[in-house]
Amino acid sequence: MGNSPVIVSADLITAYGHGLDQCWNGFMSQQRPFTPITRFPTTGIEGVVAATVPDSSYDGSLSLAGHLLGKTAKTTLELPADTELFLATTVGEIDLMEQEILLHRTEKCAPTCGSLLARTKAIFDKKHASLISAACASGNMALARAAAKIQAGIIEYAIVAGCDVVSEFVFSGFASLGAIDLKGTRPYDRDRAGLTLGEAAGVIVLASEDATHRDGLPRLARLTGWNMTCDAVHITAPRSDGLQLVNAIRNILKTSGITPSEIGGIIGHGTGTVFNDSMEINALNAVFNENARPLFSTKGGVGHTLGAAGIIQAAAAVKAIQEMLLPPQTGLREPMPGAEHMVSDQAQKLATPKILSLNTGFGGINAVLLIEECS
Amino acid sequence: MALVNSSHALMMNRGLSFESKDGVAGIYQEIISSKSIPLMRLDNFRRAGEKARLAMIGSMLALADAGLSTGGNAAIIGWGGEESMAENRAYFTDYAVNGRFLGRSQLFVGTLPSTPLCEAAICLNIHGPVYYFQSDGGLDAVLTEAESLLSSKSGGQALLLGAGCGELLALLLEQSGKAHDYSHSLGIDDMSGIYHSLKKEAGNCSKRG
Repeated sequence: MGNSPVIVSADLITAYGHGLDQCWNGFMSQQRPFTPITRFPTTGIEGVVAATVPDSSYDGSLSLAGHLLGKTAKTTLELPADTELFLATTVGEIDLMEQEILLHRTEKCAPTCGSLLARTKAIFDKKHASLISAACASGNMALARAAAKIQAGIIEYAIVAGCDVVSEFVFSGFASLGAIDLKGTRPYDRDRAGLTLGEAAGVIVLASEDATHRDGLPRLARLTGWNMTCDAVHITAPRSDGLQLVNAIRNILKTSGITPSEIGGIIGHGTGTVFNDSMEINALNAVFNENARPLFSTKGGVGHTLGAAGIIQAAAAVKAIQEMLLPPQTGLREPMPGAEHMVSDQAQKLATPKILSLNTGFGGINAVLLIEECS
Repeated sequence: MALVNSSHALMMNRGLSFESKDGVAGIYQEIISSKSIPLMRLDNFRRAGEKARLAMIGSMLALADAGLSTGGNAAIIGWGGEESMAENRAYFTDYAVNGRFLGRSQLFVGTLPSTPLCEAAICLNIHGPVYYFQSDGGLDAVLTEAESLLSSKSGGQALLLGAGCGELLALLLEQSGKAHDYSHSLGIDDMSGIYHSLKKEAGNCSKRG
């Protein structure tokens, strides 16, 4: 644990507003900041909601993702110039490509993730930057790669940024798959009917143990374990028994030398789709059996923010460890079968300051993190 | 190590090559009928897009070039800078010209940079970490990334799938960045040299074809 990366700052912009406390208070109040989509036509499914960022300052002069990440950059700690930047995103500046096609512009756009990487690098004024794109597991994957490089002594500091926005491109795609809940998502609920798209930018700054002491930085929590697997079963659907998610969780527990009962709580992927939530609950029951741990999904409040989801979850884990509780599950009416002893519409106390954060994505990608109190 | 495009496929270590005028599907048929490498069932090949087909064949040939018939828990890292731009444009243009009513799901699933990598994982039953990587450093940077990933995994293998300009380079690495099953150790500089000579060779093949 001595070399485990330390989380020294966390900032979020979500549908709840700007700031981690703002987001946490939204979760605790069980408010659902979902509003009807007006940004683009939703022909055939009028009135469908999304969790968009309330921001009147956006003037459309650059991509929305670039705009949101720019706001988080203003709150990032002063860090050395050689700090490495990791960007997690699934479609990046997809809104620029939409405009190109819809307005019949002839110029050719750059690839959307790469262009956001270049913009983010400039925004944060860093020399070294990497894009990590692993579908909806991008956030946890990027945190894992940054953490591994710090633990190995390759780098001392990492800025891990995640961002995706509510776009016509992604909305129409998820709608074509029948994955959208028209009235708002209800993760882990018996009557869950799909996801609600969300948009967010989030930034986690990681530092080595030595750097936090030397530079007198805040020590919010510690990222002590990570593991990634692939179902290798189907390009959109997860493996129903969650075997590879089980393997990822067990690998972390084994590497960390802890038992399932030592986990205080779980921040799940919890999209609200029938298949994802079912797979996750199957996996968690396989690992924890009768030792069911408190479970919470951020997506009942901030929607499914794709590449930012893992960043939001890590930030929420920091706050949960500080408060020693998980928020009530936003949108929950009646827990789905198998989740009765995990999710609740009341805040749940953590027995230990150790939280697992789960991400899963298209193609069967699984990425799991273990976040603990900084002793 | 393998290089695949729409008319040729080359295996570096074994010195095998396959040619077809019927695109990537034709190359796949040539590989199957040659019976010169372990048969891997690419069950999703017919429904996959061009980039995913290249990823499947490239992965299969890179594994076979190293004498393997399965990838086990290998990591798969994509790179090359093209992401899925062509697939993104195809999906959204189709959606737009058809009245912005509903997208085609079969086009949408191909729009993530990680989709071809996952298609390869599915076909070859590979269960390690899968992600698309990009930085300023090109092949050198992705080799360094893979070496760092393998060190943190304490072993194993990584398939690096670099796609660009209608071709795909597939490299199989073991921990410490050495290419699998080669008679001599290859460093990053060696890999870069081989990559450029393979590209040149593929270009010559195309001209001959």
